[in-house]
Amino acid sequence: MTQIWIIVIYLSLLVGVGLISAQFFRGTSRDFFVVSRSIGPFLLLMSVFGTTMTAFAMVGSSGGAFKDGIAVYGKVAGWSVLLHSAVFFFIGMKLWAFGKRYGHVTQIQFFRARFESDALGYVLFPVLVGLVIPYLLVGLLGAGATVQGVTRGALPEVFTSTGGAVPPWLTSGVICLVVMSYVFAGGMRSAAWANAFQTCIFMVMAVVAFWMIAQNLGGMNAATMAADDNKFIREGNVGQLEYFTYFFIPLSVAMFPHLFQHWLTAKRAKTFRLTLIAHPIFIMITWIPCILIGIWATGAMTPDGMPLTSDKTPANAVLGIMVKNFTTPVLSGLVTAGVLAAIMSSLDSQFVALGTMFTQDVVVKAAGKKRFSDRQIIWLARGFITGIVLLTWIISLFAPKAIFPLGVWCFTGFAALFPIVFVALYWKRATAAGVIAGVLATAVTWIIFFTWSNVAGTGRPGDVLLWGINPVAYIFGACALAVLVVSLVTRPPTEDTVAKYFPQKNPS
Amino acid sequence: MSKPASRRRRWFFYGLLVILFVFHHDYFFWDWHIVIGGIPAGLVYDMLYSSICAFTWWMMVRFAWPDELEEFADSGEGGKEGL
Repeated sequence: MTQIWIIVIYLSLLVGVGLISAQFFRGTSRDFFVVSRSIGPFLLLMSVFGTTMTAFAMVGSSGGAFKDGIAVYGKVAGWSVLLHSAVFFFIGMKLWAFGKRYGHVTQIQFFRARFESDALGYVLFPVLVGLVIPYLLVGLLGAGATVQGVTRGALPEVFTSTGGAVPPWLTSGVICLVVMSYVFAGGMRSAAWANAFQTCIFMVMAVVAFWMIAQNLGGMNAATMAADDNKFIREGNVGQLEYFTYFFIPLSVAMFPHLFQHWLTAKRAKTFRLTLIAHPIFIMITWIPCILIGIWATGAMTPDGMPLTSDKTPANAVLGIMVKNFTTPVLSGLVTAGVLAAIMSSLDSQFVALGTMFTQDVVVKAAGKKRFSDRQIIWLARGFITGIVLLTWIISLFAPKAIFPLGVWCFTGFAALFPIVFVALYWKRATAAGVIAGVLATAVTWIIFFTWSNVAGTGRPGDVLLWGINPVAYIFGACALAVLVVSLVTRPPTEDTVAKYFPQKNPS
Repeated sequence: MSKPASRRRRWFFYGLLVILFVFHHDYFFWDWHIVIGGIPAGLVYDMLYSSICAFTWWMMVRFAWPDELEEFADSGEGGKEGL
């Protein structure tokens, strides 16, 4: 019961933070979508970091380390510490500048304007929405599974079918309601405040759990020395080419619609400075403790001297097992709150981003901006957010567990689309036809690899390492090649558009 | 208004990023079982790498900042077309 109370208190606090932030809502659509472009350095850092980190940062990292040792840090987080900030610097800041100057709010608006093509918007919209929805579902299902795991036996008379655990449908329903309550009221402003709060929670919880588990295992050195030393190395846990080609995955942040919207909330270009510097450190602070907990699990013993885990222990259960056995019920509840925080800090931004896209890229685009008052646009967005939350929750009730590998593939899809945003910003000769070809090439190769992975194995990208190379490399290559070839054989964009998006630089 | 970072200086820092990209690959502790202060050596390498990345971004911000981006966003008809 302790865990349930802590989760309830945490969710109540979150609603409180969200609703307090909504008091600062200025009542305009500009405020609802991009916080009047007024966010400062601290809130930008916390909201961007919270949005990019998912439950994988805590649950997946410890499980990955349990299975593959330290290799999981270098594969995922190690590349992110360099490449996330690089994407923020070379892509995010430029998009912020164009967004501020030309009033873009969504990626589709930017691409339509940059390539003078409505058709590009129609091709890109379903692809982006199609990639975000499984990502949302994974978050909801993950939250349901986490709470079910830690509340097992807590309420046997209420939830008989789940052995006394809070059932996933209830957890995901409550989470949807909580997130919707504050994003409905304050839009992106509330999402940014809530993300900052949630980021604090999951970072602190990772460190506290780490410290307490280390103490109970006799200190860091003793805990590590007792662990399986095959997990201390990369050899045998990951291939050289697979390790290297993982660098494509962090490029996915360049195409996340929700991150695009967070970038646009920045007040100035200099607002990005803190994010660029602190993001790598934050990744390290969150990931390293969880990686070590995962490694320690390979050698941890029960009080009666039996191994706590075996080869058959599910990787994603490792963090929960370690927390349950080596901390208190209070901390177990707090760590669960931390995992929920990591999940929800992505969910809220994704809901707002999808609501914004349906409002701006579909309704306002089709009917014309003058057709609606500013107030009506806000209510349209709220309506779409409510509809998307409800629809996602209903799908989550029927979504099979196979949705988890699909979530992993979403990152592959976003990463493979990187060339289209890169050429939009750095290649004057890139054309709408080229970018459309790039999107289609991504979709086709993505479907081929995804289908192949389901036929050949468990449906994860790791099942189809062609010559030891991550499939994202091939899909990325197909996209880049299609953009390049088709752009070169089609009519270049007009001089006006080129001048608009490639202004003369200061002589220096 | 601060003086914009020179092109040469910017390319120097972009070069540093390329070097960091190369050094992500742990050629040194790939199969070393050594433990340093309770942390496997490969993970210590990762921690050091992460810290160096943060420091490099601090230097980029300090010495290679694109001031013209701010001017571009704020100048002209800035932001009046849309939201």
